[in-house]
Amino acid sequence: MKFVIPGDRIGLVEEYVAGNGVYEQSGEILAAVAGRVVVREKTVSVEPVKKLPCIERDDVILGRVVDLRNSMALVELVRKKGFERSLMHTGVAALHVSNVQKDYLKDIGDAIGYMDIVKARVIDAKNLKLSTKEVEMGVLKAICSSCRHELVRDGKVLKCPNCGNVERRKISPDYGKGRW
Amino acid sequence: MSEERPQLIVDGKRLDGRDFDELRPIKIEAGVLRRADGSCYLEMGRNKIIAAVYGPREVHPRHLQDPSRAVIRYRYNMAPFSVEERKRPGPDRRSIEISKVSREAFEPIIMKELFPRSGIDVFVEVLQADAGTRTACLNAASVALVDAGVAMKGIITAVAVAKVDGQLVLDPMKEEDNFGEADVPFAFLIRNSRIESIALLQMDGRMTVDEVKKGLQMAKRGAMQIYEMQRDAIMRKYHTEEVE
Amino acid sequence: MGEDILMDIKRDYVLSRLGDGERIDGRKFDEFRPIEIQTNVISKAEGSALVKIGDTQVVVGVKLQPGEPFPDAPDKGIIITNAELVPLASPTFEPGPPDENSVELARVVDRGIRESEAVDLSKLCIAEGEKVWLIFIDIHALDDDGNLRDASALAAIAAILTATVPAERFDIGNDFPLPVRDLPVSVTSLVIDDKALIDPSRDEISVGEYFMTITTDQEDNIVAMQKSGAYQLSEEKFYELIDVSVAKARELRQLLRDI
Repeated sequence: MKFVIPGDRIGLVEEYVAGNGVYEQSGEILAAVAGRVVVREKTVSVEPVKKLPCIERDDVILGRVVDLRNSMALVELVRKKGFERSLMHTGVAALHVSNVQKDYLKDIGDAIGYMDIVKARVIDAKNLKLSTKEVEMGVLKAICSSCRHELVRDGKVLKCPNCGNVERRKISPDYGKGRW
Repeated sequence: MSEERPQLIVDGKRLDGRDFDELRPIKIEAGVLRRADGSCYLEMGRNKIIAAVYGPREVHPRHLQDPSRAVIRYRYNMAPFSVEERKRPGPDRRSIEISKVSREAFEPIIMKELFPRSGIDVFVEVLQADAGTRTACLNAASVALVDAGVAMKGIITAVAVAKVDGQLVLDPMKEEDNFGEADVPFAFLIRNSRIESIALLQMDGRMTVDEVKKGLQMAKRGAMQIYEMQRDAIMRKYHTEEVE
Repeated sequence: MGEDILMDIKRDYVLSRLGDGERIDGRKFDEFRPIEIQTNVISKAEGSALVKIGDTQVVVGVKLQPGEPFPDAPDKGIIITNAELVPLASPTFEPGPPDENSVELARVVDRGIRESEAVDLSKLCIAEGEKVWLIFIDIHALDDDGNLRDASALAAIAAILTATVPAERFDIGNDFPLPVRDLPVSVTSLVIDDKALIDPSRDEISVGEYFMTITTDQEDNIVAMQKSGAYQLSEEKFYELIDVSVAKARELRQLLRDI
């Protein structure tokens, strides 16, 4: 496969449809990034040497709950799974009560807490909508709503080792393990 | 310090034995830093340059964000030990000016509109200076941007031309820079192995119009050689990895 | 924003591995990452060294020039140590004047060199009360993957070891090697509860910036110490850190002797 750097001519607009990592100018298709040229159907792209963490559908993201309404949690995005580098800008995504868990949930506050760190699946990249329905997804870290101490997992609930408070969450199996 | 002005051209050769249109030895390595998103180490003669790119990333404070495109920062900085007389740390008027014109060389080439609200930071450190640091830094920054995966319309390649002892020379070294009659740093946008336009141009000294025009042609030939080395550095870093 | 959340998660990982008695990169608690010292990397400087500890990289350049002595030490050279945490080295470093971290870094390195009397300053007098040699030690961070402090201290003494006093350039007699009479070595640990991790990496530091640096000379005397970070250090832990720091410094000093 041909390796190109930015500015290298790949072909003409009559030959191909411009895909990712390329741009059009004066009837030509040129490389915008370094990498290998890939042609699928009629679409030509450059498989970049380093991918940028754009948020796409089906991505797994790490984020923090910055606001909680009765049917919605707003999650500030921090990282995309598989990327060490930071996101281009931190967007705020929505986790609707119907997307938190498989079973019916009336009040989102019964499964998600303010300031929780969550792992979630992107189900709509354009409107930034998240889901934590899968077993793996959910809360990774939470603090006690009354004394703000870190909660620890105790079976199906979270317990505060400081004040004994018990709280309910949609808990990820990665809770407290420091991986996601 | 008043130094005796040396004769800069002897028997048709330059002080370091180079021909008039010959570059100094160049070494380029892409991807040398762990923390940066893209990086490059470059030697051009005795210049030692390291460049890092961070981003596209969140812009702080937020009011500096541009909702339609990325904000570019370029910081040229000299290490205190990079020059004969220790340089006071921090920016001075010279480095502020160089940072500005260097940023402006990249602004039209980076596809900023693909990264709204974000920032792309280019930080270049001169570890050892030996004339032509701004052009060496631009060459390193260009490779670091490619290494970071930032979308660009082409490659920026830079080289200076000087007039010494009445003769045009490519890529002047320290003595030629100090005692020459003129110095003209150029940077070009190179696309598809073709020089397309001038991205940076400064000059100090005195030259005839004809000399300036000839100088530009000399710089273009030098830049094409550097461009091939930039390409080669990127290929070495990534293409060989894929073959293995 | 963002970075702190990531740190929060990494912290859990570091702590859970520590709970199993392991460091995340599999090192022993008193084990440094691989160390590499290259000297004379900057020919424009009178002495220089590039030190890599793991992925952490620092360049130190030593420059000398004649200047006025301090009134209370009219016949002694002067050491001026400065550190720049340039934004190239970490996503968290910002351009601007030195912040408290770079000032602290420079001062900790400076104390090790000064108090061990590594440089014989009495041999750096040019004209008593008028002119002495000023030694500028400039620390330039390139890549901060944790423990810039030990990397900087090691690079500083390595640069000093290879430095020449440029007397000829200033018409003050012949050049001579910078007189060195000791090899101070700093050892930094990250203190987490009852554990201490020598040479902490960036990821390990996610648990908190709880550092203890102990610098020793070649006779195993302590010449500089710095506890930094909002944590409490127990007496027992402190004594333990002294022992391990002295032992580690001996190993690192051998690297300097091999230059």
